[in-house]
Amino acid sequence: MDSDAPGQLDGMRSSAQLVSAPAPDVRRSTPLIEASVTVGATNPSTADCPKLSFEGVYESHVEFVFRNAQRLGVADGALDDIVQQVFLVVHRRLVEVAGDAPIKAWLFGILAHVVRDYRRSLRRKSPHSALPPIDPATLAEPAGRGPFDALARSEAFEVVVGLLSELSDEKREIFVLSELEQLTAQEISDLIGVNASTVYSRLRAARQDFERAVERSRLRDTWRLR
Amino acid sequence: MSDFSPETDKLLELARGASALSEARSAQIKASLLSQIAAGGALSAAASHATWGKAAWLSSPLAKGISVLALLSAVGVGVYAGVRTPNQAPSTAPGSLPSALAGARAPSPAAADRPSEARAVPGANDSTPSSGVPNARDTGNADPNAAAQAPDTVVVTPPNPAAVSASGSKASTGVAHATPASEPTGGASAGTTADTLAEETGLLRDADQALRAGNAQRALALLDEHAARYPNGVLEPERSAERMIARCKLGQMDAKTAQTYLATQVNSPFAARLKDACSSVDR
Repeated sequence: MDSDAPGQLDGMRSSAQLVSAPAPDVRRSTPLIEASVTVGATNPSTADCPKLSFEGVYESHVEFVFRNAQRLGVADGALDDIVQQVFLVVHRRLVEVAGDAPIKAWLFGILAHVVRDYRRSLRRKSPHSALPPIDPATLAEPAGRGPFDALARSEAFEVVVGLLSELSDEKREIFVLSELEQLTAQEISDLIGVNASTVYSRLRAARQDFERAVERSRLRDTWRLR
Repeated sequence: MSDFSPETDKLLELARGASALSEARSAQIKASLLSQIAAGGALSAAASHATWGKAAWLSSPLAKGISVLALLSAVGVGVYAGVRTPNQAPSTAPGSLPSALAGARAPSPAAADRPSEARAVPGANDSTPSSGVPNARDTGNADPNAAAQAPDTVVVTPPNPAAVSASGSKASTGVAHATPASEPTGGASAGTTADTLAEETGLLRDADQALRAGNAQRALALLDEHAARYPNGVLEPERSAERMIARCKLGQMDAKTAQTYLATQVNSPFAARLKDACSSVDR
């Protein structure tokens, strides 16, 4: 898959270094800031490395966490909760993370784990019910798009998330990162810590599964209409 | 070249653009988050360790942090509602939280319903050191604020007989957004272990609240009960710290012992409160 999202990695790097003014009681007194942060900057020595602020990490990454939680099948009613869980861990662990560490990878790892747990507990509670559908009304409408556009998108989203529930956790995650977040295989590999060739093969399998799920649903609809 | 049929391609293209987080919702989530943090929601989070048991995932401190949240979801984390008083605003929020989350230890024993899955996912934690406690933060401002707002700062627990704290479960409607979300995450099938931990946590939380509300006597009584019921519970360190604070406040602690203990707790999340309560002991 081509690198159709070149900004991703850069975004990741700069977000990792991004720091907002620290809360008064926070760690070091080094004046961290935009001035010292340049996209693509080589690693500063750890001594100068700006420590991350929780708010900075939150603001930089909450959307990433939120939309992928949605894509991974978290129902809207649980979404805020799941996002909070992720950031509670972030808050707890932030001291241990260096300013130039791959934050996104770390975050995704936490998210994937929290979501898997959530899905498991859902299955336990109601093993036979499908995951609740996303309420299209709750999907924020990106600016500048007409109402019909938004509707089409949210319906498609609902369908995709529904289909994805038929995949295994692993395949679903990789599918979301690739097809929805649009990361390259290498980026995915960096993110989930799996080597690139494994990413490729898992991705291929995930795509096949997804396509089959599309087929099945098409057949079901056809059958229903008869 | 795409692996997909054109129809599927189109479907995905549409779906891609659908997720968006509105500013308002993000602000809401953040507010609730900061409240939970400041209100010590982490205390209850500590109870979640047991359901993770032998979480081999990552086998790093990250696992501990996450395991802490596992039960959080199991007992219905969405129910926590913290009240954010004017005092509590940004200054106490981000860094100032030496919450009990920090103090929670990961207990290998207990319910091991965690298969070691998800190993594929994270490679990112090689950078994290193995310490389980955050750096000491000189959060001098955290405690006075906490004390001042004690009666209002509440963590509302889910319907669990032992854990329900009758004394002051005031949930702020402003931040109650978190509340309705409890439902899907309540799958605590770890049975008695989860209940026990919820009880243990609840007891400790009540003690903590009593202490912050100025009622050290009651806090001590609760802590004694906690010690009797859960002598080797996962929250033992937290109990010790709370107990020390209570005794300092009641003037039951001699200076020497207090100093010694204080010295060992320099990096503990309780350092600030301990210092505050015990430094003035001059008996």
